Amino acid sequence: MKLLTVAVPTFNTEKYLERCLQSLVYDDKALESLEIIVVNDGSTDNSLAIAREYEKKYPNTIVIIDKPNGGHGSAINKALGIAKGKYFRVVDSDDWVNIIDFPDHFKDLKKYDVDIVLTNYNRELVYEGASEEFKYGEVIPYGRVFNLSDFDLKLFKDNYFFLATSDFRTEFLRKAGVKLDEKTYYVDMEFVIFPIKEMSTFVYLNYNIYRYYQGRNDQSISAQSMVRNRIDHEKVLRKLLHFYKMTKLSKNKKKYVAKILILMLNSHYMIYCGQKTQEKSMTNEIRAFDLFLNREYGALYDKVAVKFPYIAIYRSSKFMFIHNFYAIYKKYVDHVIFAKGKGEKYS
Amino acid sequence: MKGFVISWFFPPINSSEGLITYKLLKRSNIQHDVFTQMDNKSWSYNNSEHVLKNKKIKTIFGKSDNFDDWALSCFEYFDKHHDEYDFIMSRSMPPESHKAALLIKEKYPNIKWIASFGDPISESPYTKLCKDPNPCKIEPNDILKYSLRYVLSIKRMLKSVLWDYRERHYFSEEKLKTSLERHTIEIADQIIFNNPYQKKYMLGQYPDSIQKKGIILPHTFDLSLYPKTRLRTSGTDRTLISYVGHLDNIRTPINFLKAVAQLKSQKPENYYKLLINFYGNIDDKSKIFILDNSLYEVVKVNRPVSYFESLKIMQDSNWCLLVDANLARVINENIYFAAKIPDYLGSGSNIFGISMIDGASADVIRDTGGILSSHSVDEIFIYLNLIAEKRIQNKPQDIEKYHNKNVAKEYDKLLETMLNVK
Repeated sequence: MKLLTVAVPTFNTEKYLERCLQSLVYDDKALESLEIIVVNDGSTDNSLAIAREYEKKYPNTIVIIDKPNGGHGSAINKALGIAKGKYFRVVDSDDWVNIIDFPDHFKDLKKYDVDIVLTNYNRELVYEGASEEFKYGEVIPYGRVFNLSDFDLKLFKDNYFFLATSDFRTEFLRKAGVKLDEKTYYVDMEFVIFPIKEMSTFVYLNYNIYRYYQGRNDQSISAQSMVRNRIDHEKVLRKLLHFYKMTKLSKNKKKYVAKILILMLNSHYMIYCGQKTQEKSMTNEIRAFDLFLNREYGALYDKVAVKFPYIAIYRSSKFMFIHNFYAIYKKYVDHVIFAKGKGEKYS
Repeated sequence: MKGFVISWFFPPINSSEGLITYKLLKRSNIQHDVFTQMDNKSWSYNNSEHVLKNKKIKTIFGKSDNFDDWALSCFEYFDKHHDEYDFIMSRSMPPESHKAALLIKEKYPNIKWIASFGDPISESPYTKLCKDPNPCKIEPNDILKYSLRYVLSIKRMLKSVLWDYRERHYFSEEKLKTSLERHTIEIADQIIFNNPYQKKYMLGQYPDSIQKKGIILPHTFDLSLYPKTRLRTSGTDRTLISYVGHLDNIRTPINFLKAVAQLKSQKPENYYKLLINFYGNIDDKSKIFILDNSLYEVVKVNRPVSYFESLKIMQDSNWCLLVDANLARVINENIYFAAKIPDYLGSGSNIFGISMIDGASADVIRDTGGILSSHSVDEIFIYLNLIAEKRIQNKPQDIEKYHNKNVAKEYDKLLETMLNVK
């Protein structure tokens, strides 16, 4: 049995895919325990040919699924469906892994039988030509098995189980019935929240594995993409809010999900108040969403404004003075997307 | 057919721009007279390319006290000999050659003019990146970061005003450059760019009628200039990586050196398999980094070399290194196509490029089967390991389109069409 399956959802990333695959297969010794599933999600560029080249070189490690375009979520669903590894991880094809820590973490991965193994990651900031390390280890002791139901959530600060930082036990994901929405952006948040109901244990290991490449204009987290795909963002957000309301969770898990939702709500308001010019249709959209939130999720409605006071001001302006928020938004983008300073994770 | 080429740089001056022009004209079937100069004091190149001569190219040396006098002497020369020429070509570095061409075109409006742009003259992303932001200015959304005393400080405000005044002065120079570039683009009959990104950047704002004038002639290599025998790294098993050219604070190898330092600490067995040579100017920060991290056993910084020596070095290296500036803060795509890339291609050695993922250099390296990395230290680290372990090499392809004989053919075709000569 393979120890780890890495799913590589791929859509038109010929400029990046080789780097990603090269980093995954770098260590020969790790190949036996590793399964890489490249899911070509209807790429129209050279991505599939690059993947095939690697499949030929590493036939016992690399598996290719070639399917019509269905979005990031559909690619992950497919990979999860056939994964043979005890653990399951997603590495986007424009990202990569550190060639020292990735194979090194295998020996510890073998020792634990937990639902999620947390590791650190770096944000590779194109604009800065620099790298920013993100470490859970500053707050969470490593090598200790925790249960989410009695874990002190304050230790997470504003973080959670990111896709980039987690090896998920495959069986746990399947048991949780994780199935992501197809043809929708931001479904990685579903991946982070839906399995929580089945989750019990996790461990933090002090390895810095994932390299998250940030700053491409066409990335889904770029400011322009967020605006363009805002309807998807709202769709996912509503689905997660529904999950929060309808799913029976322990008190701690409920708190954990609420924490993530507040961060996501902040992102959602940001999309709208970040507009340089005021568009009536967008103003109406955010007004309708705000009303919905107030009506259905009063507690979250209040909490998000306490944590992010600009939302209270934004609300009191009836979402009218959008252009005044541009400066705040720019600052937010600078601080968070391109990490020029400290800020909250753009979820 | 005979052309009059206006180029401040041309062999024997050892400069990238002059060599690009030389390699192109050498393989053209057309006779060219090149108006140039012999003084090179203001530039760091050596005068050492006297062997670069060709019977189809005649060099004329003008006054070189300053650019404007040179441009004027160029115009005067052409004025006396205008009957001899069918067309003129001006090269953009420095932009004064376009100035001379504008003077000529004004007096002889029927002469066909090809303006070649190595780099943009105005709105240069490189220059933009060199500019420091006003350190005394407080942006409205940053106001809470500072004390009230600092915000209201007269001294700070005065400094800020002075800074902006100086910037405005800089911008007045910029305006002149912008106007020269605009006139050149509008009046020239054809405009040569070396890559499509540069063309889009410089002509994107113009109407279709002007955009149609732009054509792309890439930089080239000339196989006849390389030594006949290649040495490689005889007597050592170490993999030799060489960089030939100018590096500075913007085009800095610092991330490459950080990756080398990471190699030293995390994979010393691979570190000692490498020998890395830099030839030419290198920024102080990088030099200090080499010393601070004791990388000097593996990384050597050498003096600038002549063009011929540089070709030999490229040929004798296992890997040729390219380091481009990271312009991501000011532009999404790299508009610069480094002239050393085709020289690297001609050498037959492997190429390892560090550049922006989107842009001219990246496209050329990828299309010709080279290895390309972003400026990420971690990514460079991966490739250094693979290079040291000899697990990676180039898969050369499509190199011929950078051969000077092929590009010169394109150039001759362009001239034929422009001059309607059958």
